[in-house]
Amino acid sequence: MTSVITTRGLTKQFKTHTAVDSLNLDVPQGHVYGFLGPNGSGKSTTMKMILGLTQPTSGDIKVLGEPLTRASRTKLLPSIGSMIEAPPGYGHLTGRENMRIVQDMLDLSTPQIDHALATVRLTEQQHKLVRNYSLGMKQRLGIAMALARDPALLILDEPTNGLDPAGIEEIRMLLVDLAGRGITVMVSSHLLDEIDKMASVLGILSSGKMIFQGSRDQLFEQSVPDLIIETSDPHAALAQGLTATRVPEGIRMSGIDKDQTAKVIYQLAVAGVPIYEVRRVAQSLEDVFMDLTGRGGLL
Amino acid sequence: MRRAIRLEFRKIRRLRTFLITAILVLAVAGLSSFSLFAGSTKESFTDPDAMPWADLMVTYTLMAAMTSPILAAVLASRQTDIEHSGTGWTLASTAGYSPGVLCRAKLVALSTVLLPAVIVQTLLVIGIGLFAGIRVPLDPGPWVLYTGLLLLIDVAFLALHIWLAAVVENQLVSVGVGVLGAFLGVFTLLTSTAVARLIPWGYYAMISPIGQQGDRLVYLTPPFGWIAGFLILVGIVFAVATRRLDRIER
Repeated sequence: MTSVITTRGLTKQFKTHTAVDSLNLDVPQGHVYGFLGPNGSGKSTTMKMILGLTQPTSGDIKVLGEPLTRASRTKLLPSIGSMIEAPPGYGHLTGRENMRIVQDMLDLSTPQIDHALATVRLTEQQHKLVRNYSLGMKQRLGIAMALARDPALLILDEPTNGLDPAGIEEIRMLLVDLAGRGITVMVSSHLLDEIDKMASVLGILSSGKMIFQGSRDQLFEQSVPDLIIETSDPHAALAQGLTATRVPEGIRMSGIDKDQTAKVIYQLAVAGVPIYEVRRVAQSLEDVFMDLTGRGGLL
Repeated sequence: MRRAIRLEFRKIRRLRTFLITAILVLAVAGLSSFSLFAGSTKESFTDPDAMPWADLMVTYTLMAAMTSPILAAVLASRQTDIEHSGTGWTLASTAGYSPGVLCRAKLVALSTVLLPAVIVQTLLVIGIGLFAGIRVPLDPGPWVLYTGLLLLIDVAFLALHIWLAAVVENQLVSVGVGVLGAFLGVFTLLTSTAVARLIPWGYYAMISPIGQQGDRLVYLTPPFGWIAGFLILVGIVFAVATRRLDRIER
């Protein structure tokens, strides 16, 4: 897979705080890359460095196959659409007038502006003042501004922030559609649910460190779900010295792999503890995410 | 840079920049010539020794010193605040326009608005003087000189306020400094040149081509060296400060 964004050892240090720590990022071409992490984990800083808005303390960045430098940035920017932190838009101007500014900035054609507005379904609202837009409309305008240049790469920082479920779904469908057209989309969020349904590749950041990067299935493999042992005598089971908690149906054990599971079952069977069922807890991606970020970069 | 200036004109729309400028121009012209309609003043309109035009210029200088810092602060603040509220700095940066370029473009765009405004303001003051009945011939030299220098000083303060409005997000600071500058501008008209040249807003007084010798008003040559020095200093400070803005990570 060709990488559209590659970083190696990317680090950003502010006085006493390391916002991004030795980040190795690989964003594959034509995919939606979900960039996840709790608030303050360094997602926006990373995206700003990729866009050349913030200078890294150390490390290398390659975008669209070129090392990011002052000189190459000017050449690369017309191919990179972005929306960082908050959707841009001058409130005293209409959506259309804002788009005209983007058009002038990047020397775009009027059909490109019309197409971008149509893509985010703002054509009918384009003559309203942006200050009167709802948050969802502002987000869509921000995306239209990023899209107008027909980018090869789209970098969106929390584009679903503050949106209602319908708005989130709309953005999600839009981004999946864009990826389908060959645009590489890097989208950040602190909410896993929002990313889960659109991203084919995930990167999880915690305290500035990349703790996971890969597909959804690979992510599940990183986390061992809790084990539920159904028994009518949990007291006897716990008396065997197991590190477990009581649950209505028996006991629950965390972080034990297949071999350890076999040993526990043997131990309980030998002790005469009745075992009716042994199963893994059904784990959502959210659980895996919390598990990983909670462990803060142990992987 | 030309494109960046064109963008600033697109952004000016609905900021009421032209309306605010027009109101202040009319206010300055009106307040400057208010005393012309007093009965006692009318007697001097035909007496060259009474120097009615010089009298009018003294009032104009005072009103310009009082309002110009506020006008510069308000225009700069409105044109710059939109970048904070609309995430314009980031939008522009991702299109290759650095904050420094935006600030310089804003200066050019707003100066273009001020140029006709200051000229119209002077012409209005003169026009009202003629309308009120001043019949002593007008010596245009000091008026042209003052108008030109007033425009340059206004541009200098625009530059400083654009920078301030870009650095400090709370626009009350920039406008507050403008109001303070208005007081200092008037204050320096009443102090010696030695004091005025040390205070930035004192240059509204320094550019006045009118002075007093005993009881009489006299036309003076403004201290061009000091004025040029001030303008060059502001130019250098603005160039360096806006370049440094490019390094601020927002």
